[in-house]
Amino acid sequence: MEFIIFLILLSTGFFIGRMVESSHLKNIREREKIFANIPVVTAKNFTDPEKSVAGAYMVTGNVVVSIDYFKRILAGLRNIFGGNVRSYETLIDRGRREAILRMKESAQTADIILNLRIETSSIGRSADKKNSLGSIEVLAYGTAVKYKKDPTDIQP
Amino acid sequence: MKYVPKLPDDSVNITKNNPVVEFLKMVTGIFVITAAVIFVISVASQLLSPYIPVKVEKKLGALISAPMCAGKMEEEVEELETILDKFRPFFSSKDKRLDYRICVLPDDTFNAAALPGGTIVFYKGLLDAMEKEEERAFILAHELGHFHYRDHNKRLGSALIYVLMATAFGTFDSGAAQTISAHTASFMFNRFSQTQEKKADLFALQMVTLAYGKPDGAIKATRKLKKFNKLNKFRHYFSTHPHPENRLRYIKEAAGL
Repeated sequence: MEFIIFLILLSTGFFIGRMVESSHLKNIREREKIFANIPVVTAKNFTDPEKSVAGAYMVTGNVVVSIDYFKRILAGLRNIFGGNVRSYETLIDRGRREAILRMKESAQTADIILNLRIETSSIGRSADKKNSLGSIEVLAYGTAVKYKKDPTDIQP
Repeated sequence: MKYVPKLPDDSVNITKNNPVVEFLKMVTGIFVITAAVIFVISVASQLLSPYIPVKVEKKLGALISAPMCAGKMEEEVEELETILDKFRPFFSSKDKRLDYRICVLPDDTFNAAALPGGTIVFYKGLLDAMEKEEERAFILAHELGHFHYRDHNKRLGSALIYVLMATAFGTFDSGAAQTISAHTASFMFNRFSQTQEKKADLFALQMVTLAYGKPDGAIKATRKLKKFNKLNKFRHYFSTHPHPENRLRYIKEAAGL
């Protein structure tokens, strides 16, 4: 009985997890096209002699993503044999891109986002367990800069 | 410097491989490792079990059976001891090394067991189903068969392997590895156990025939086992005992019926 429940969870996790992941990636790609006009750089300072800064503010984008049962099992098995943990790669990739997108969404009037930083933390029941990962939180933050359109234009 | 919008490249950060193939490869790996370890240690426990001293076996058995059997259903025990005495003249030197002790537990469980040290445990559920003396004699002789072949010692070794494997895979914090290895181990032990059960059945048939002059007890008891059987043939394939139909067939064949 225990084995049958395991197989049901595994197949449900595989098919539904695959659907959720591809739909999330599709959504990410569409939004990345929309927000492609806002440059995001890791540089702390960006000086352009032709432009002066009207205002700067901190922007954040935060997301918590989890993996399905199938991937969790796959990652657990990888602990034994070693190698690339593909199931976590997609989790981290989706988390990072989603967090940056959310950060861009909160800076729609900005001309550029400087000093991009990304942090991750493991949360949920497995957060305090060694070699175990359930959900990750990805936080992307940076400084949104708005340039002056004319010399009198000053924004907070 | 002109800013040129560029979409993130989503092909570099994710390894391109099929997760199902990856999963199957690792499951097969665990299956092979578990099977190999169990095979090697089972062979070792088969070879070593005859050398476990009776003294050690008795000490181990006392640990398990003493708290389980204290003062339970003395009347039924006496009756079974009378049956046991009927087998004693036919004991080989191998069978005489242990002091057999019978204990009946007031439980509906349909089972009996041979514990290390010579304790034979009967559950009331099985005794009630086996109403006739010759039927009970077959069950008792079957458990004696396990002592004859030292199956109880081999099972102790198997249980130890099982715990070791579960602990080893448990250190990786992989529930899947534990599940896969536990089911592989359970499947292998059960297939191995079915061979032991068949040998114990044939030993019991021989003892019943010698003590009662006919094999009827063996046939009747196996028919009862068939009647009370709740598992289908497929599930019996993964069980510790052969399907009662198969048991009846080989017992009849061995008895020349």
